[in-house]
Amino acid sequence: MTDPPERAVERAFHDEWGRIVATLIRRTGDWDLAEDCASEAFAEALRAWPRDGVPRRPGAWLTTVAGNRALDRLRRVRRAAELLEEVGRDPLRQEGVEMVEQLPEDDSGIGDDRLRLIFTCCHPSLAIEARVALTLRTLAGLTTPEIARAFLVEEAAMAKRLTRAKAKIAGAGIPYRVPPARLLPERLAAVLAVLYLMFNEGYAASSGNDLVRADLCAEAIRLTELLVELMPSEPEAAGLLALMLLQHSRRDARVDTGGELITLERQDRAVWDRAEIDRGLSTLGAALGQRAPGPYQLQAAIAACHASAADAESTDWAQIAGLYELLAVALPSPVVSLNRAVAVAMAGDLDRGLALVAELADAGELSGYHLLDATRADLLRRRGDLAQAAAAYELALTRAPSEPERRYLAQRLEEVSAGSG
Amino acid sequence: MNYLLLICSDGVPTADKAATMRHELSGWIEGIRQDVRIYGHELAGPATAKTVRVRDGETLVSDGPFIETKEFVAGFDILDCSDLDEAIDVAARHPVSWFHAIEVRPFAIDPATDARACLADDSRQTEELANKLAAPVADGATRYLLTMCQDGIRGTDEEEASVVRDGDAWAAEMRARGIQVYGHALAHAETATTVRVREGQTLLTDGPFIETKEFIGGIDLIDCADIEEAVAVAAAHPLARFHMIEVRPFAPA
Repeated sequence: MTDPPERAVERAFHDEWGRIVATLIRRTGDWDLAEDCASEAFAEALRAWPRDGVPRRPGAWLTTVAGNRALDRLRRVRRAAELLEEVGRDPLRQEGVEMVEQLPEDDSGIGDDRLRLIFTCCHPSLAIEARVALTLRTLAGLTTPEIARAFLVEEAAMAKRLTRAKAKIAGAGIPYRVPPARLLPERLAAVLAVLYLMFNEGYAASSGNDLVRADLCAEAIRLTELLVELMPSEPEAAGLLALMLLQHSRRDARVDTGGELITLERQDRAVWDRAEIDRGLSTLGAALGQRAPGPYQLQAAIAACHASAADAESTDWAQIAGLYELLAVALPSPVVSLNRAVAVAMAGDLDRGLALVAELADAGELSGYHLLDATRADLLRRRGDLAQAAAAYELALTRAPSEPERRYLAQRLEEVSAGSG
Repeated sequence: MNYLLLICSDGVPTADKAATMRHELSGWIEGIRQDVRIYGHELAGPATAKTVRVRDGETLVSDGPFIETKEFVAGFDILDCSDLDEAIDVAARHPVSWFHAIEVRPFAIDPATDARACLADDSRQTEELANKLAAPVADGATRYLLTMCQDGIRGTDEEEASVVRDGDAWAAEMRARGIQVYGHALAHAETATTVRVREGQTLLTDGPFIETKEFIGGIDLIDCADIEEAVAVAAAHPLARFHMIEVRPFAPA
């Protein structure tokens, strides 16, 4: 069975866009030219494929067409430069000549250009927002208006952000390459951070009313899958993929019909996406098998504990507490310590959990953070100290930054107040 | 590509930090391949700076750097690197980046050739430039850094064209008089990257060290008898008519 031509173009766009752009950037050094010629190749496919049939190798067809377009344009630039030279004006830039000669060359054995592209888009000398936008534009093929909508900014502002980032890459000499071994750990971490930010941006918004924003999750997962495919011996990349899959599997259970957030404990586990959980678990298993654990694998392992529990009561909190202890070493942060305190309490030692929360409160790093008060309130409620719990909920309520969180806390406050009164 | 490192201070360092930086600095210079670092020098403190403007034919001189903040430029280095990663690496090994910050700015691409920002065509010319800059300053003269500061407001086309045209004439004259030893425009401030190293981690930020509408458009090195002559040389530059020029003596050796 074969796809209708339009569907085949759509599928090819999904599969091949990033590869074509990445290759053209390497061959021409010109980001705008690469994007323009890739767009033209897909436009040409929409005309040619219904007429001539879908080519046997759509990717190769598109790459050739895009490459020829780029060659034509560079030849025109060269011709113009030659004409100028003849009348004694600016000589042609030397590199331009070489580019035209090089363009038709075969690129086998050079490695995947998409990997070069992802590291260049995520170069830490670019602002983080620019890295995310550039990755979505060049690798995932989202249009500028789509990216602007996803990040709730004006289209003109997003276009400017992208133009600026590309100008910096060219003007500041950001290399187009996979970083050498000595830089790789730091730079890979930067790439993973961009992908996770992209995912979280979509996840925070996946309330169903803005599909473009929710699509960011799917794009982030797709790009991370690509990274794992291209760098199979980097377990943290696989760890991040597993983490995304396991979090994403709960997307439909996270909010109720009224748009209110539902905590993990109260979610309907029948709504969790089993297939995605299985994929997350097997990805995580393969990553852990490489015996180089890191923050993403540990977070994925914690998510896996939740995903594997048949119901909230059978959650292996002791295991989770142990994982948070490791995570607190790998990625020291007061928020990780707070989560560890919760896990210790849920594993059965409420007093110790509350003591850990008190320690954190004394350290002062989380002062004013509503989740510190909300956590203390929740643990006090579980221990039966309803009056103290109510006081802590009241404090959390004054500090909560968003309306859904305030509504959630107000409801809990009402429950404990009813219980203690 | 050629890069300018602006060695930036967040304020006066404590005595032990200053001692550490001074101690490590010679190791930094020795550790860099000679063909990477073309030239560099520490500047005298910001209190020695004069900012020069010419308005309606009158030279206006104010004391202090062109932007008054507690942060200031304490020195500079000119590098020849293969790409931004190499320039960042050199900056991250500079001890000042461990306590303060270093701004990495590419030099401007020469519009005449459209070639990549390049001060010299080959390694021989790079070496000649390095030797020329490293040669001792003539007896009785002091070297000054002129920082060409643009205020972010573009002049009319005629004004901008006159800055380029008269700027070239200014450079030719000052070279002929043995005053200008070096000068080059920088790429736009948006190509800047600021490097800090904290707890062994290299932290990068997009953009210049001090984010203001004013930005540094280029640098010149001049050898003058005294600050009066240096101010007069700066005032003769067309940029002073529309923007401003900061004049700073080098720190004594």
